[in-house]
Amino acid sequence: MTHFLLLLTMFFLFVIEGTIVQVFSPDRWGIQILMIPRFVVVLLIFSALFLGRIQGLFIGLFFGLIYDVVYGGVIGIYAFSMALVGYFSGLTFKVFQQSLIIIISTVLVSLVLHEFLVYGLLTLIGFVSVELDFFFFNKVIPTLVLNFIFALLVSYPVRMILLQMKEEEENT
Amino acid sequence: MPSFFSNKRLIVLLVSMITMVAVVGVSMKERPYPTWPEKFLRDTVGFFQYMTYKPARSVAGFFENINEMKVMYTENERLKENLEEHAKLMARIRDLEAQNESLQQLLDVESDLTDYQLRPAEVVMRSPDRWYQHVTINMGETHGIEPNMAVITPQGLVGRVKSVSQLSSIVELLTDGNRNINVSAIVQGQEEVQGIIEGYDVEREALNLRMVRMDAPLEEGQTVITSGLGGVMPRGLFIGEVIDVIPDDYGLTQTALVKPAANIDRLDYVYVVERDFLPELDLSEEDEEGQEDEDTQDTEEEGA
Repeated sequence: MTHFLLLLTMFFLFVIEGTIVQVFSPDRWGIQILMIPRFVVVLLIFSALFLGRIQGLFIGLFFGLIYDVVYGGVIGIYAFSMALVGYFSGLTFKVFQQSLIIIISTVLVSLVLHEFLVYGLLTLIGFVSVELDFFFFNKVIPTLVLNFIFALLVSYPVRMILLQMKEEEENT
Repeated sequence: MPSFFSNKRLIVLLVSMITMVAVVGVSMKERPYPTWPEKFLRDTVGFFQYMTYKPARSVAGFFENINEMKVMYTENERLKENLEEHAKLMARIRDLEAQNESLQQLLDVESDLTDYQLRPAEVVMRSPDRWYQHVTINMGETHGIEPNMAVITPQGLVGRVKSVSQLSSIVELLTDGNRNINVSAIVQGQEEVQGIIEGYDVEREALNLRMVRMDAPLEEGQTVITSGLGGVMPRGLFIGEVIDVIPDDYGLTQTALVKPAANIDRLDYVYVVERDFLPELDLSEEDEEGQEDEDTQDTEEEGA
């Protein structure tokens, strides 16, 4: 049941990324910086952290495929990058002790990794030709700021729900 | 399942990378009509997006209106000045249109490159990563939308229909980084200069009008419209104004930077342009170059 709730929440976030958040995106109001909402990725990182890397992998793959199909891009880019991010952020607690600083830095590192992965893959197939420094300052840093604020806002409730899910899983 | 992954992690990674490369390779090419699962997913998600975007946009529209009220006075002054000129222009256009029509009737021309119909559509989604410059509109195959139709706003051209589902379709904007979208364009002036809109300069926020003759007289402020050649877009859709002219890398042609007239960052309502004529017909009647080409082809065929 809570699994369904998690996926539903992520789907809702996915929908508002392309719609409601776009109404408030800076370029709509004439400011030329690009804040990409990556709310689904943030939730993916959290669920990978608390539910384990395999679940992270599959949730990432699932939403990555939805990303690719719905946004009309090349199928496989987001599926790969999100699955990879889900898997590797799920590895964190194998290496480090569970603490707030580790969670925060995992979110930050995974977001940057995801952004660079997508940029790299799209550059590789020739769909994107943007200078690296332009990409970094205009896209990565604003994106990181926006999503980090989002991550801080949702971290407490999401952590509660995910820990409860983990417990349920272990009981059954 | 977990043991499988932990034991053979490397193999799984390799297999998944190969799968990714294969899937990317297959889906990279133009697919104007996607497979049915994709269509189904797009239409379903599109419905939810439509439900959330519409109220959000009306709220945003309210704030935009307040913003606009501030500049309304000055704008009003300017518009009043323009209005007189507009009336004169309209009279002239009507006169020319009537003249054009009678001439066309005289020549038995049934349609020309400027003929088109407009279908209004609403934007339901904009892809949040600005890598793909795509928007989804709430019109699809059932509404008669076909791939490669031009998409405009009242201000000017914004893009073309990339792929259609049953109830929604994806529009590729002119600002898309990948160079699939090439529009044959003309710079209006003393003489018409041909060029091709190809790619977008992110840092200067302008479209690149490439393949312009080196000796072509280009100036800042000249208007750029679609040429109607290429058989995809009708003639006379407004694209924008020239803001700068730079020589090509090899110095053989020049590139004009064109500022798009439509506000591509703020798209809410668009029109899909439906071309209602046969391109074959036009090549023989409208376009002299096309005529020549066809003639040479004909002679070649005869020769063969």
